[in-house]
Amino acid sequence: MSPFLNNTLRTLNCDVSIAPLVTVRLFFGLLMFAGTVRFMYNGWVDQLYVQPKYFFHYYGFDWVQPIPGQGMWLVFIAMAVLSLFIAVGFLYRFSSIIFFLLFSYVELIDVTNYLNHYYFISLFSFIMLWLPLNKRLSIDVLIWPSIKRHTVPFWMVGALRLQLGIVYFFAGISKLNADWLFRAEPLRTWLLSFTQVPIVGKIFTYKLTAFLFSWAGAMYDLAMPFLLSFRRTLPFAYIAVVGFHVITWLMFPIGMFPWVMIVLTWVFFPISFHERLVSGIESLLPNEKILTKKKLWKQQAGKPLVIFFVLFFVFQLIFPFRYLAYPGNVLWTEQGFRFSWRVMLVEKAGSAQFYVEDSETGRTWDIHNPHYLTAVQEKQMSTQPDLILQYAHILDEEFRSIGVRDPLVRADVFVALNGRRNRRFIDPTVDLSEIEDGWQHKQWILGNEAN
Amino acid sequence: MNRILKMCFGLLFITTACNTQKDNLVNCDFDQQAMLTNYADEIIIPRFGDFDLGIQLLESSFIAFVANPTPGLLNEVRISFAAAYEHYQRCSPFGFGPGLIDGISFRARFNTFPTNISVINTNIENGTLVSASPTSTVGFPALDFLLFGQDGITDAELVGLFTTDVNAANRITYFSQLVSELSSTTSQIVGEWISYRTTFISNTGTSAGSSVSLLVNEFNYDFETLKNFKFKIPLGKFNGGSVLPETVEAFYGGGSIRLAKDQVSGMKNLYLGVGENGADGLGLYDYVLCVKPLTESEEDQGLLALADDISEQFLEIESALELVPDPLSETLQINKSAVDDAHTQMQMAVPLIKREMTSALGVQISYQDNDGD
Repeated sequence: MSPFLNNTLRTLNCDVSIAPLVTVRLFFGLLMFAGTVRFMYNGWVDQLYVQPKYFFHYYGFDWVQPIPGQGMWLVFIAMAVLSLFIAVGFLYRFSSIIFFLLFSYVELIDVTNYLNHYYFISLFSFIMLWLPLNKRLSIDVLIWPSIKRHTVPFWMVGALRLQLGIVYFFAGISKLNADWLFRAEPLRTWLLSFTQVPIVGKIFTYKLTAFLFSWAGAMYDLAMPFLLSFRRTLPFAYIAVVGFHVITWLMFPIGMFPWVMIVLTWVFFPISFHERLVSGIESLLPNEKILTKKKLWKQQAGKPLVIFFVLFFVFQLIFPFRYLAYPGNVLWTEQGFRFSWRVMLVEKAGSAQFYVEDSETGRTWDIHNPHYLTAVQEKQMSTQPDLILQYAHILDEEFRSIGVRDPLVRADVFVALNGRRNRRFIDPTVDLSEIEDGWQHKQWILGNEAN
Repeated sequence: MNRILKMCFGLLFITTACNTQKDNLVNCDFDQQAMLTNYADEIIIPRFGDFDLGIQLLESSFIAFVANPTPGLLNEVRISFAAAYEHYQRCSPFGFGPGLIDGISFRARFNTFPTNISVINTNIENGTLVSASPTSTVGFPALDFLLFGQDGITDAELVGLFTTDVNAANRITYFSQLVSELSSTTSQIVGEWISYRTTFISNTGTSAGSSVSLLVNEFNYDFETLKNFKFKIPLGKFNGGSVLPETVEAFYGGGSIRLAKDQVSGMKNLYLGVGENGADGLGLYDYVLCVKPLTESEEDQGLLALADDISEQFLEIESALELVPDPLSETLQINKSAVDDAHTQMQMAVPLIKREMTSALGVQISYQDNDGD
């Protein structure tokens, strides 16, 4: 073994305070509680999981269905309660596993709700459920004092840092495309919305502003994992993190994500910071003194868990590049687009008119999308080929059920990508009802060459 | 390595762009407030004013008819009805602000068609109040039925329904209530616009609830009603292709295409910012042209700027409508393809105005709020 690798392994295995994990647990739980309550308060449970007649499934996950009626409310209430359990470390292993399962279940129900930051929460809560985040400053320790630990191997903190680092770095890589760098799109389009803001509005009337935002954004994302990892650059990096996320929160409708990132980035802070924070909280609690038996973390889980994590991260490093296996521009075709940290990369406007023809009689119906889909579903479907295909199959089944034996489903779809003029998106002559979704290239997507 | 090269090239590109092309520097500096002022003062308020006047003329012509029920005066009512209905077409995209009545666009009770004539007849027999009647039995479509009657009825017979018929008195009451509902709502809207004007003009930006967002959303919604209710449904496009002539707008009086043309020209002028006095002011056209000017590569491809594409498409719709004679209910049966062509031109406008324009302006067209990333 080379000395470098040896050193790295030793560092990864050396014992550090458990405090960073405890901080993460506490604040992750509180953030998820706030996020879940906000989701319910905004009426989105009803809008996204009760009202829709149909749901768009992820490939291979069409067996994931919402609970009928008002049942989804129970799932969200359960998630809110479990978030608090996680925060206070009550029945942590159980709470974190169920939270991960419920959260991922909710996200798998409908593709049209896909957001990169939901994917991030799924991944992060997945890592968390394997780690002993409840072994200090938790209700679990009060109930079972013997589980209390003061240290963990460093790789556990490292895993959480790596996950955050991957998000930033890949978001940076995905910005290295011609539209972002050389046309400053979609920011050029989006920033125009702010020209009417008093005083600062004027700066958004200049193209240069869009270019500065684009290039700064790309560099920020690419550099952040490294700047956060060195003590000397950490303070500046963190100021940048707060500034960046507050600006995006002010300008764009991105919900909880900025706050999640601002808080979870603390995991990069020195262990001593967390130690002080956690012991500070402990000193406020009266019962804490009787429970201070120092114990070292025993390598119970050991090797299999480490190997598992290595594979988990290797997958994440490879999966975003699957788009290279498809011809064409990924921003246009969206083949291999999701689960790759392509954050705020496209402004797409699509309009899809579907036609169903009874192949036996020649009778043809124009489809009124709002009759089948919610506004958000229609918007998402109109620009994403796999969802166009799913909708065609929904229509195929609908018309079979009213007695059309062999419906032909075609669609005339126009999409405008990142400020370009609209173009026909798919072959309007193809009978989509005959095409099955899969990993293979979708031949019926038209090119955007002239762009 | 390739990426680093690209980045260097990009930096070079930006610096040269700054040095050589001055106009390229400016993204778009548009005076929204001036556009909104033009909309309020030259388009919306005058149009509602004319509409209000039209309804008043309808009201007085009906009073004259009731006092002296002759076929000649019935015809006067029909003429003022047609004029008021035309004015309505030019106001229909303004179902926001004062145009919202109890949270619902005034369109709902002004122009829901096809009207339900059997319920109207029962309402008249029972003396049901118009205010207690559903949207499918009130507004212009109900007046259209009462003024023209079903196919084959003579003018004399129609006058008889208001004079000698057993329900004549009830019919007169129902008719007057229909008109006064239109009249009171319209004058309420006109009145509220006096104070709403300031709110409208100062509510800049493009976020949900801003004046631009309200205007653009209503513009699109109104265009959808034109395409879907006035053409798609009668063409049978929602029911497998068999035409439904009785579902056209103004079925009994037969002025469907004339009204559709009014709506289209009203929308076109609204888009262009052309005021009721004919003066070309700032409008969505200028705004779209500002945020999305023609790029060199688009010019090379022979494309038009989005803003011009939209105005061209309105012209296409207008010339296609020229080839569709009234009454539409008959043309649907003898020359369906002409109607089909007009519909196709409307369909072609949808990607332009509903998606490209809203995306360029940064206006959310979906009424659901949600997070993005």
